[in-house]
Amino acid sequence: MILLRDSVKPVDATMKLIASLIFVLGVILINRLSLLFLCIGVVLCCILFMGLPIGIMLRRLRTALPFLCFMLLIVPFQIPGKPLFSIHIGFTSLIATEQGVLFSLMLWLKSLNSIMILLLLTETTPLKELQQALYTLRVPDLLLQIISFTFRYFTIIHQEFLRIDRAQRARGFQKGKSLMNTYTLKIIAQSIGHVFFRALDRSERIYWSMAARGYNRTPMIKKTGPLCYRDCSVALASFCFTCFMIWIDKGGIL
Amino acid sequence: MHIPDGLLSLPTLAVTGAASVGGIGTAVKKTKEQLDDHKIPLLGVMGAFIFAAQMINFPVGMGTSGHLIGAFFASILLGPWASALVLSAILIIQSFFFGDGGVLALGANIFNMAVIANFSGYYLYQLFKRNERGYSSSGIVAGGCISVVAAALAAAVEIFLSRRSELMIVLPPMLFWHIIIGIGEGLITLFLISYIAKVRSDLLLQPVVNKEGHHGK
Repeated sequence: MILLRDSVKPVDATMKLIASLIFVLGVILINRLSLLFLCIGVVLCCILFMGLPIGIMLRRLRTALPFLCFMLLIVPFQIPGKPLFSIHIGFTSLIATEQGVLFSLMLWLKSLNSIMILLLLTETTPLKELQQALYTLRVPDLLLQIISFTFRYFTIIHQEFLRIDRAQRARGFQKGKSLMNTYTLKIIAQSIGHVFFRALDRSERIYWSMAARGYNRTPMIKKTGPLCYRDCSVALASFCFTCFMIWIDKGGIL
Repeated sequence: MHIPDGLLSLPTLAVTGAASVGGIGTAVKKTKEQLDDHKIPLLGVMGAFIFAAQMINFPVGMGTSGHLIGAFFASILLGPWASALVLSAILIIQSFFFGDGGVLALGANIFNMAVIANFSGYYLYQLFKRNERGYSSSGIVAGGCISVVAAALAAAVEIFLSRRSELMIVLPPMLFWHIIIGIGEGLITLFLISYIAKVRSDLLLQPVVNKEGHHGK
């Protein structure tokens, strides 16, 4: 398994990124349920081929799934069309339409597809390579630096939050029940504000220690070697597959 | 409010994408003019801070809870240009690593949240603000509310322009909920800013983005 994974990993990150973007573009252009299921199957195959544990994927999908499921419940009522069933809430009634149900299912599959392919990309590509890929695609250097600093500092700041939370609970602080409880609001806002000050001070310190170790804001981009045929083939394969899918979708075979 | 992939049509994606690319380009230029080199990590800290602050839940009532969105808060403390960059960075991370908002819909999401929410809140707040040092409570609540509502409005219009649904079906519930969310956002930001004003009021002058020597210009 590890051998297999290593054989795929060295593919140039830029090409992987382009391949993923092309795939997502294809997915959002497809309008047939069967083809969307097929695409999910293809992504699953890629995941298995790369040797990624399914558990990791599921864990990372967990953050996105609640929102997706919420969408699946809401959208059927928002598309006009032939009524399917209705739900009475108080004095209003919500009408689900056939088109709505179909569309929400399609939207759900499309979003799931795109999320899965991105998780696959980020799970198999180190952050640094991904940044280089984005830089190659002309994302501004300043923005990329902000992204990398956000990543670096997130754990630290999160720890500070947990620390304050622990301290508050140790002193018997309990959250009030509603937004009307201004005491609760004040305490929470104060703790956020406090973390903000700590973060400010800490960032200065971190910056100076980085500067002392030779950080001088030159772009971290190193020249990548010439692209070999294997790098390009990933993007090309994705392109061909996507074109093929769109062709079928537009009634190419039938 | 994060728009997933597959909801918007290709032309809408292209237009909002182009708008976001233009917006980010200008923001990068403006920020480089205003920002000292050694303050760049600070923008990253701000990004990480908003990320973490979004995890803290405020009780809203009836068992639900909400969290800070942060666009308005960032724009007050950093100024609109730098905060547009910070928010774009957050949105990119969310879509790439957490599946929150689609990757091709990034253009639309950045346009809604890093451009529209950011600037509408900021400029409304500037109308309320009288002097450099203080802050205006009503301005913060109004600005926070407008920033959220404007972003939701933009999202609804984009969905309508993609011909996915009719404006009259999407808009009323979207506006209704987001006005409530927006008032919450405004209140939370107000508490935060009042605490900052009490403890370190110098931060309200946006010293973060002003180059040395431009302090309190």
